[in-house]
Amino acid sequence: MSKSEKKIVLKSLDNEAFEVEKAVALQSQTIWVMCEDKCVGNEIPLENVTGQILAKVIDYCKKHAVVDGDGDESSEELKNWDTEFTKNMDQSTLFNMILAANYLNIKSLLNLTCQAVADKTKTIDEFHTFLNIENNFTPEEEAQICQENLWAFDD
Amino acid sequence: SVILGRDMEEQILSRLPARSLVRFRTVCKHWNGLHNDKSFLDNQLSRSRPQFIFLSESKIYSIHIDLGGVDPTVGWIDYADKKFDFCGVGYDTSRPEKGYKILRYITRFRRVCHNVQTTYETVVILECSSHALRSLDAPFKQWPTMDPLSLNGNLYWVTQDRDTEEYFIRSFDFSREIFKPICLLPCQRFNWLFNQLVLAVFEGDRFSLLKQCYETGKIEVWVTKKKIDDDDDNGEQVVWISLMTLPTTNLPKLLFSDVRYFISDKTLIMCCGDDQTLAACIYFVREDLFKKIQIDSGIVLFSHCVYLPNFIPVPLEFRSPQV
Repeated sequence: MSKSEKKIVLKSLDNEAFEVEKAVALQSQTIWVMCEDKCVGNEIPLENVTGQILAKVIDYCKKHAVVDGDGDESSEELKNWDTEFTKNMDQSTLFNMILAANYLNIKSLLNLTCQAVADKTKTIDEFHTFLNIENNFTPEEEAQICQENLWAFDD
Repeated sequence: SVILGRDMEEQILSRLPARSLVRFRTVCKHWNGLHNDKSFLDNQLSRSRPQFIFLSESKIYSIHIDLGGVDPTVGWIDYADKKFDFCGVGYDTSRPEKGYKILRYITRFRRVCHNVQTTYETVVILECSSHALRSLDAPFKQWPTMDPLSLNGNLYWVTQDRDTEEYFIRSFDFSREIFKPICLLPCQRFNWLFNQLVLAVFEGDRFSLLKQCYETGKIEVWVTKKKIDDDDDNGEQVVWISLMTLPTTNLPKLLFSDVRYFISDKTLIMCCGDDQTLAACIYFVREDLFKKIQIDSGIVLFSHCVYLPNFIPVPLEFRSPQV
C-alpha cells in the first residue's frame, strides 16, 4: 500500500477536512462500507456531522485504534480514558455525539455516549428540555403513574 | 435542543437503572408505553446488575451499586417497616404458571402426659395460592443449616456430610418437594472452625463460592463452569473454576459476620459488618481497588440479601392489601 492510500480525508458538514489514518477511520462501519464500495475517492463527505463533533469522534477512534487488542491492562486504561472523555461533555455535545456514533455506526462509541447520558440525566425536566420531548400527559394521568409506582418516586 | 429519534432514546433508556427508568415513565406517553413492550424489557433485564436489600431494625433499604466510571458509589432508599417470616420461597417449575410456595418451620406441640407439653420443630410447605400447609417428611439433618440461596425457583445452601465431613451443596426442589444433594464444593473447609465459605449466584444461573482463610485473610472465589440446571440431575458433574484470588491487605475478617456478595465487572461487591465496629458496610474489592462505604450512620443489627432487579410483578398472593 502506498503512503497516500493509508490516509483518508473526512469532510464535515461545515466543510472542515480531517486527514486521518485509514485504520482509524475504518472503525466506523459506515466509512468502511463507503470505502469497500469504492463509491468515494480518498475524500469522504460526512453530511450529518459538524467539524466540532467530528474532531471528538476522531480523537476517540485514534485512541481506540492504537490500544485495541493489547490485553487486559490497556483495556483498563482505555476504560479510564473513556470515562475522562465523556466526563466534561455537556448534554448537547453528548447528544450530538450519539447521533454521530449512530450515523457513522461505531458501536462502542454509541454505547459509551448513551451510557454517559443515562448516568448524567437525573430529572424528568432535563429530558423534556434537552431532547425536545413534549409532556403529553394530563396532570391526572401523570399523577396516576406516580401513584402506581410510588417506590420509584419516593425520595 | 437536539432531536434524537425514538431508536436513540430507547438506547439511552435501556441503560438506565430500573428505578430511574420507572421514574421517567412520566416523561411522555411513548416512554410510558415502553413498559409494556416485551423486547424493550428483555433488553433492559439483560443489562441489570444485582443489588442488595438491607433490613435494619426500623427500615428496609434498597442499595444501588453503581460501578460506572472509576469510583463506585452507593445510594439507598428506605421503605416502611415490614417483617419477613420464612425460610425460603420458590416455585414449581414443572407447571407453566408459577405456583409459588414458601418453605418454613413451624413449632408444634406434643402432649407428653395429661398436663405436660413439649414443642418440636417441623418443616412445612405453604402453597401461596391456596394457603394450604403441607408437612414435609424429611429428617432434620437435611434441613437448611443457614439462610438458603434462591435460584430459578429452588433453594440451595452449603452443608456438611456428617460421615465423610465433606462440604457440599444441598437443595430444596420446590417442584418435587424434596431435599437433595447437588455437588461437592471446590475446596473443603479444612480449618472448619475459622475459614468462611459463602455461596452466591453468579451471572444469573451459576454459583460462586467465596472462601476466606482466617489466618491470612486471603479471599478466593470459584464459579461453576456451567449453569445450574435442575432437570439435569442424572449425573453430569458440576465443574468449578477458580475466578479470582484477592490480596490480603485491608480485607475484613468475615468469620463472624453474615456476608452477602455478588461479582460484577471482575469486582467483588460484598455487604457485611465491619470486623472492628460491626457497622454494616459495602466493600468493593478488585486487584487494584479497595473501597469501603458504611451504610447510614452505622447499623449493627441487620439482615440482608442480594437480588436481581426485574419486572416480574409480585404474585397477587404476596401483595399486602392497599391501605
